[in-house]
Amino acid sequence: MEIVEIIKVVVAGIICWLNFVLIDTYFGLPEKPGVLGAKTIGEKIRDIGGNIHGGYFMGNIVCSPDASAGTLLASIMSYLMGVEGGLIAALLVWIGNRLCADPGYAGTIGALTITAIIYLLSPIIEAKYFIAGMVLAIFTIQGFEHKYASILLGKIAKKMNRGE
Amino acid sequence: MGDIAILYLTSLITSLIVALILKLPLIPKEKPVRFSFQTSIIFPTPILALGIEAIFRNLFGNYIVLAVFAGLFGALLSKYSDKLFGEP
Repeated sequence: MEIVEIIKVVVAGIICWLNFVLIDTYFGLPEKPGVLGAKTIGEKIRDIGGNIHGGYFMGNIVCSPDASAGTLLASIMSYLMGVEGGLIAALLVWIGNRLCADPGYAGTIGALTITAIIYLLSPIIEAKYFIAGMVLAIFTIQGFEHKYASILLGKIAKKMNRGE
Repeated sequence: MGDIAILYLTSLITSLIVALILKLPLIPKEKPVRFSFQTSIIFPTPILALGIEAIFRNLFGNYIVLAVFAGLFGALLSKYSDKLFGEP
């Protein structure tokens, strides 16, 4: 029983990781720092041997609610209220984006896509596993190893024509 | 379930009609679109209308009038977002 739960958390984490990394990269987070804080984080990561575009990506994640925040908030709201919660999460993420000088495409689209994914997968993986999975997914980017995470994000950005 | 779908559809269609009356563009005119702050009919108007309708429905109940108002508020918030949040 416990093994099944761990597998569900890991699968949900992989889905969340793909959801937010692909959407954030598509909407241009690695291309340029949105605010000064993101630029500082990107340059700091370049100084420790990482990739500058991966660094901008990580800085932008910290400095405004993008698809990673959208994924986490929509998972929580889907757990509480179902699909309607995901819609409320998308609205609040957009307001948060505009307050942080961000156009808000990545955050709202990420919240809506993860709401749809959770709804479709709800007979197999419940919303609570996506909350735990998203915490793991964001830990692999922002907490575990900055240098190699930024190099990986830079490679994905290059493959999707966002940044160099 | 059918009722709820009609409420959301009402707010969605109202928001699109009001956005058309307010002369929002269909897609942002600035390129590339992914860095544009200009609001448009496809983004974020419908998302705002559906989110506001979700809040209204859970707070006040299933009323079609509230769905119309949710669509109206969504379109107005989209149109005047620059005034509310400041020019980027």
